[in-house]
Amino acid sequence: MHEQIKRDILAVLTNLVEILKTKEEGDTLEIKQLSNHVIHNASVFQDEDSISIAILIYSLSKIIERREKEIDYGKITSMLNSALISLKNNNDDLFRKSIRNLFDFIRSIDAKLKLYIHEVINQAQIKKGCKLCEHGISAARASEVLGISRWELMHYLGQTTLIDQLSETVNIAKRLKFTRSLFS
Amino acid sequence: MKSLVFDAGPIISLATNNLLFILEPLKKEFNGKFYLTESVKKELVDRPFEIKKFKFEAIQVEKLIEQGTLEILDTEFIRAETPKIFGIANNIFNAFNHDMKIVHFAEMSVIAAALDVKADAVVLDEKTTRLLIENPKTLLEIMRKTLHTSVGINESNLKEFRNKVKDIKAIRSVELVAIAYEHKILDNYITNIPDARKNLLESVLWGVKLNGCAVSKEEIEQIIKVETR
Repeated sequence: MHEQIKRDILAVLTNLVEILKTKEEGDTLEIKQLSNHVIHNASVFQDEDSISIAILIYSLSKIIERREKEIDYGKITSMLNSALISLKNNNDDLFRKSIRNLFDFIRSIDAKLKLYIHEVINQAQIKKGCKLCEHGISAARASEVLGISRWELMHYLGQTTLIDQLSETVNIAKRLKFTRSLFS
Repeated sequence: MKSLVFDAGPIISLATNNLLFILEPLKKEFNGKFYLTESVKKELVDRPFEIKKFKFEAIQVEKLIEQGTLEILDTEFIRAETPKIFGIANNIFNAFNHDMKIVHFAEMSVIAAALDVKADAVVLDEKTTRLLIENPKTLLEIMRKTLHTSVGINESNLKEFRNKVKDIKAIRSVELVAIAYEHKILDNYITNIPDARKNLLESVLWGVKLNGCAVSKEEIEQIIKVETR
């Protein structure tokens, strides 16, 4: 794992453990924001680790948002600590196994609470795909990296204000005039 | 023979707005070919068939292919050139000494196809590839601003890429929709409500924007102003 990726994942997961130590009202917002920290690396490296951590953290925030009282923070914290120890010991394989276990745990919560975790994870993938596009990655490439369909991502991208913040390089009147010339 | 090469984006924007029907009459007015590459077809049709989401829209695209409105272009040149362009484009920008893969193989196949048939234009709804063709420095600025890190540029690869795409012009689904409006292809939807034509135009332009076409609110306002003068 690249040193930059490792450093950021360690920082983000340590922060997450701190947030989960005590249940507080603003937890979900803080956790959601944390998921964006690793997405910068996901845009640059497009590595499995940054992407899975971003999706994991965002999914956790959504689950806590829906059923905070019924979620066992202690169990999640302990699993996160295992992942942190493996990463600190440079045992990347064991770290990845711990993250897979966390995803399995989230799915097991679904069996009990019927939170449609598959949809939550899918939404997390789309949200993070959108973030990649914000960083200059094409929607097609972002879909590929996140393992989602371009149809899903395009639909979501259209609902954002991403494009409105960007000035066009070719004037619309010029582009329209050119298009008109093709059809006359 | 005149031709347009479509990326998946504009077809998705049209399909999700029930506007695929404009392609056949537009093609007649254009008097040329509307092409898709094999890789673009995979994104548009094959993938939704696997995952079921947007499957009906994919069937509508497949129907257009079977009817010949959209033709699949698959040549030796495209197969050889796409990996080259893909390699160059994905080695232009770098951060943390790492080349950033910013585009998909299918998008680069659109460029290869356009070069092969000397297409009049490529139809691209997505900002990254369009910026890469028209103004890569703007893309660099976006990356620097949003990634909060130093982003480097491989000038030699950029030059090579720009040299390849120098004659390629890009249009979007939003311009196709505006032309369809001008050519009265959308007239079946004119109602008795006040400002019916203006409302119709506004609805379809916003429709494609909200389904992923990279067009700003200001540009839509300008199109409406020009078209309803």
